[in-house]
Amino acid sequence: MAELLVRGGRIFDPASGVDLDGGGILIQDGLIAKLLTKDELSSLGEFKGEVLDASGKLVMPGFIDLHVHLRTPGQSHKETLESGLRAAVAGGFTAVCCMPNTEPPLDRPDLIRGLIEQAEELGLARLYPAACISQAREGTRPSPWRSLLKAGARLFTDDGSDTADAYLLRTALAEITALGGTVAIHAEEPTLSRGGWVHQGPVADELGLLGIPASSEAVAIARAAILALETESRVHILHLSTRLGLKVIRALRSLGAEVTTEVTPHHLLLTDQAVRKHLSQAKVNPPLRERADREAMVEGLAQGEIEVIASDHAPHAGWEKEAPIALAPFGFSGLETSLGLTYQLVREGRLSLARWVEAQTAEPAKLLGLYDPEQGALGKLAPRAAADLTIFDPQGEWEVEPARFYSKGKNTPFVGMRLTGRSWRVVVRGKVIIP
Amino acid sequence: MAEASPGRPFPKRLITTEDLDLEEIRRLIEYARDLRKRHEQGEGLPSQAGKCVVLWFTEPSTRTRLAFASALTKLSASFIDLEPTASSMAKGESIAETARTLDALGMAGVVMRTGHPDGPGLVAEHFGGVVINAGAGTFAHPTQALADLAAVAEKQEVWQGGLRMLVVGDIVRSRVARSTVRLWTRLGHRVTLAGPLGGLPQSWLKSPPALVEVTTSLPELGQFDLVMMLRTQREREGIPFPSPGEFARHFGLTRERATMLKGDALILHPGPYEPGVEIDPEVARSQRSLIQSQVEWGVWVRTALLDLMLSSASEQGGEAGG
Repeated sequence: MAELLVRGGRIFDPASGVDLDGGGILIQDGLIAKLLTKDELSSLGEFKGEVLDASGKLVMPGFIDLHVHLRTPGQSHKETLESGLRAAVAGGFTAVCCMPNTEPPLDRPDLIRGLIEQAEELGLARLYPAACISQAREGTRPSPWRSLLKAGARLFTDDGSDTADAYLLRTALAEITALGGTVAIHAEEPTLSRGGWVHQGPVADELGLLGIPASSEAVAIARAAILALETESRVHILHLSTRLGLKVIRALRSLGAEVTTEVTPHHLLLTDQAVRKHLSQAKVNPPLRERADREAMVEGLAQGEIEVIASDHAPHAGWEKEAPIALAPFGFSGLETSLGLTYQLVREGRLSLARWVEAQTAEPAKLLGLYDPEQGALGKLAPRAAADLTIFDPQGEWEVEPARFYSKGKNTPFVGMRLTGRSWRVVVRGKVIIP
Repeated sequence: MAEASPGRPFPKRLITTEDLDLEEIRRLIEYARDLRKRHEQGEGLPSQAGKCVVLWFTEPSTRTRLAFASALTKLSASFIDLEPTASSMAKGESIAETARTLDALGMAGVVMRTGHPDGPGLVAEHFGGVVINAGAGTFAHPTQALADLAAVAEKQEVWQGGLRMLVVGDIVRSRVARSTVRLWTRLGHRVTLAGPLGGLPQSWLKSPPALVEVTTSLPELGQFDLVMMLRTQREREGIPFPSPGEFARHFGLTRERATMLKGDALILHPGPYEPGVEIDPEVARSQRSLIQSQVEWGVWVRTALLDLMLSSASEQGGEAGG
C-alpha cells in the first residue's frame, strides 16, 4: 500500500518524456510506485496514506547539486554536514556531491564511509562525497581509487586546484573511468592564474586587481581533454566560466574527446562588474568573467553543450570574507539561491524549462552513475525510481536574505536580489523533508 | 579665492579622486595655493588642534608619510603612527577589526598606505571619521595625483582640458598611473600610456578608457605638454618586464630624448626615481622638471585636504560606512 500521494501540479521530467498536468505520484517504500494522469488520479478513489497537494507547483525529479563544499571534516566554522544538508533541502536539492578539499582531504575510504553514514543519520538530503584524485590533494601520488570507489565515492577530483601532475591525471582518467567512476577537474593552470583574485579584464585593469586570464582555464581544459582523448576515457570539467574554455571543449569534442561540463548560477548571472560593488564578497574561483563569457555560458547551457548546473556552494565565516580581496577566500554560499537564480533564465525565455530540469536531474545523476539502475535510480520520474522530488513554486516571490540561510555561509553577492520562483518542498526517499 | 568656510561640506573620504567632484577638486587646489601663500607671507594657518589622526602605513614611504606628518603639524593636529609590526595586527588582527578599534578610540582620521587595493575602502566601512587613501596597492594614490595637478596648475592652464600628457613605464603596477588617468581624463585632458606590453593593462590595449591611448613604443615626444615617467615596481607581483638597461634604452627619458620635448613641456615623476633607468638625473633636475615642486605641493595639497576634511567631518559627525 502506497504511503504518500503527491497530487496536482505539473509532474515534469523532460528526460523521461513525463509531463502530466494535474497528475499524481504514488510513492511506496521510498520508491515511485506509479505515475498517474489527471484521469487516473480522479478515479483513484479514497487514499489512506499521506497526501501532499502540489497544485500550482512544478513536481520534478529530485534536484542534484553536483558541486558543493560542506567543509566536513575540519572546517566547521564555515559549515557542518548538518547545516550544509539543511541548506540543500531548503534550496530544493535532494542530493548533493561534496568536494574533497576538507581538512583532512577526502582521500581515505573511512572518511568517505563516515560522511555517508553521518548523512544517513541526519536524514536530510542524500550525500555523495567526491574523493581526491591525489593523496592529500597534492597532485603527485594517487589516492586509493579502488578502495574509495568501494567506500562509495563516485566522483574523483582535486577540486580547489587542478591535479598538478599530468601523468597522474592521465592514469586517473584511464583507471577511474574503467572502474565506472567519473574524473572531474578544476581547470586552472597556476602559472597563468598566478595567485590572481579576479578575472583579468577591464575591471581588474581599472581597479588595479590581480587578474586571472581566461587562458588559465582553457589551457587546463585542453590538457585534461587531450588526456581523456588519448586514454579513451571521459572527463568532467567543473565550473566552466569562459567562452574560450567552451570553444576548447567544442574543439576537443570534435576530435572525439568525451567531455562533460557544468556551470554555476553566478557565472550564468553575474560578470566581473559585480567586483566593483562587492569586492571580496564577489571573489570566487573561477572568477566572474565578462559579459560575452556570461552570454556564452547561458547559450551553451541552453543548447546542451554545457550539461549541468551546479552551485559550487562555498561557505565561509563572515570574518573571513570581511578581509581585503587579496586575503579573502574564494567562494560564497550558493545552495539556497541556486534554483531561484537560475529559474530567472527560464522566466526570461533564455533557457527552456526542460533544459533547466535536465541540467539538475538526469545529467548529474548520469555523471554519478545513479541514473540507470532498475531500482532506486535518481534524476528521473519513473516506476521503481527513487521517490526523490523537488517541488517548485514558479510564482513564489522572495528576496535573498543571507541572514536567513540555513547554511553557515552568509555571504553572497546576490544579497538583496528579488526573485520569482522558489523551492516549495522536497521529498527524499518518499518522505517530505523539512529543513 | 576659495575658503574653507564653515558650513561648506567637504567629503570625509578620499579613496579615489572620484570621491571629489570637479568643483571640490578646484576648491582644494585653490585652497592649497591660498594656504601656501599665507604661510609664505608669515600669516597664521588654520588650526585642527585637539584632533588626532592615525598614520597607518604598512608599505614603505618617504614623501607621502612625511608630507602628511608635516601637513598635520602645520594644522597643529596630533598624529600617531600605527606600525603593523608593533600593534595587534602583528597578532593577526584584521584591517576591519583594527578600523573598528580606531573608531572606538575616537580618532579623527586615518591616513592609510597599504599593499591592499581595497584597504582604505575597507577602513571607511568600519571607521566613522576622515579616511584618506595614501596609496593602496596598484589601485589608487589620489593625493599624489592631486599634488601633481597643483604643481602643473602653477605653470599651465589645467581647468579647460585639452592638454596632452604622456605617462611612460610600468603602468599596470602603478597606482599613480591609475589615479593620473582618472583625474586628468576627467578634467578633459588626453593621456597616452606607453611602455613594454607586459607593463600595460592588457584589456586597455584593445579598448582603453575614454581619452586614453595605449602604445607599446615611445611616441614622438614633441606632441606632449606633460611627460610623467614612472619607476618599475619590482617589489610588486611579477610580470614579464624588461631589465632596467633594456627599459632605459627604449623608454628612458635620456638627455637626448628630452631635447625633443616642446618648449614649455613639463616633466613629472612621483618619486622615488631610479637615476639612469626611467629618467636621466640631469633631466630630473632640469628647469622643466616638476619633481621638487610635486613634493612641495604634496605638503600643501595634503594640508588643505586635511583641513577641509577634518572641519567638515567634525560638523557632520562620524558614522562608519558613509
